[in-house]
Amino acid sequence: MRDHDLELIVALVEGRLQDEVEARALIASSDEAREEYEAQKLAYESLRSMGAAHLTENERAALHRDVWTELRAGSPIKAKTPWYYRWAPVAAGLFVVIGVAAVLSGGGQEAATTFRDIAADLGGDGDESAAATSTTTAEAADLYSGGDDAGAQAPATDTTQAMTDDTFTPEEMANGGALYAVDAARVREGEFTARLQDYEEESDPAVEACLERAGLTDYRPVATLVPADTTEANFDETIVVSAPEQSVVAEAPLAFVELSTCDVVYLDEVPD
Amino acid sequence: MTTAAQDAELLARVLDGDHEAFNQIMRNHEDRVFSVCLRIVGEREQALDATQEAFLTAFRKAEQFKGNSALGTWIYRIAVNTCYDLLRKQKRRRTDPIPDHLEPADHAAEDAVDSAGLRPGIQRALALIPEDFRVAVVLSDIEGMALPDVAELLGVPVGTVKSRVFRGRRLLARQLGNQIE
Repeated sequence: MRDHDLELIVALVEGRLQDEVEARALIASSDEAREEYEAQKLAYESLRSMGAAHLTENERAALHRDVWTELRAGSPIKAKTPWYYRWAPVAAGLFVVIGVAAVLSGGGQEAATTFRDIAADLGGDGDESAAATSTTTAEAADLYSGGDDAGAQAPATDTTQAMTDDTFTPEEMANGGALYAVDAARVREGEFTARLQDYEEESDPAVEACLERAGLTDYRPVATLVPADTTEANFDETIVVSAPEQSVVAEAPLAFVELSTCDVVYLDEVPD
Repeated sequence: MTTAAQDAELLARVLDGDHEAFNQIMRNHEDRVFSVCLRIVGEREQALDATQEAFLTAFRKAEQFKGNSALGTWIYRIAVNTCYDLLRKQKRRRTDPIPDHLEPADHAAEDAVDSAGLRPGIQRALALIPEDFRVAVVLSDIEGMALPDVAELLGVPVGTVKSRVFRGRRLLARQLGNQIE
């Protein structure tokens, strides 16, 4: 068939012809044209009948959650931390300076004792633990202060600015964040107290390793959520809920970590 | 449907670090991107993966968008390319029956010609035609894009799109005919 004939057939199928006489005559006069018309019509009407597909609400929430989780995976996770975490590096540095100054000035034993006492209050047992504490808190500062991320693939102007933003609200995670926020509130209200006690009695090495992989070296697990625990959060994996060391769960930021991947899927800011 | 000016403003805000602007871009385009991906790759989970990947790429390459086309066209181009990559990785044709959960209640499923029972057959037939023809008929006949817009999205001449649509329909009809027999 000529191109003109094919064009006529296609136009007839698509309903674009104001005058169908020529096209109808072509189909009536040629088996080839008729077969082509029927094939084009069958396919065209079948495709048109499919219509556009739509995301379900759960899929939509998961899409937003997963996109932002992935975008943040290449940068330090930013969370709103208690004030004492932000000032801990400064305090640790001051203690070191004071201690060194005291030793150099001849205060010696007394100052060292005082310094050890201070360090002990922080959970350490002397200079070594004080150094470790300062290192730990420095790491915490690095983790939470954002800054450059060598692994980020997003445009620098976007992620760098985003990562220095102190705010991490459920809105940033769209619907997915809002769903997790419900479960965070339940954890804070003590709904999973029994599981909290489980972790306090005996640590789980696999969970500890997962938190470390997730960059949450200064967090401790406080609860484990399985899909059966909630009908509101859109997850189908086991989630470990963690909080900063030495924090009170009801007042602490909570990190939701997917146990199978060790990805941080949600960070809940400190409640008002 | 957003205007080009609205999309441009949103994108400018994204480049300024406004995450909510990107959320809005996603909300404006996610259904259509997902629909295109689903019709091309044929499976819901893979379509969701492709949709996610498309938006990730769009975010990471936002600075590279020059505004020569509409933002939606640019995003759909990314989505189509993502689907192509996905299909190349699979390197196989789908012949398995599509599970019931694949097509959840679609609000447009009231057509007398193709009831819900036949539409899985259409998707299955669609999956059996070559990718280039499949993409062309999906964009043209399902998404309702004009041929020049499809050509711009795919980066090929309009005549090429016209030919792919024509041949794609012919092949699809043959597959549908085989299913009916």
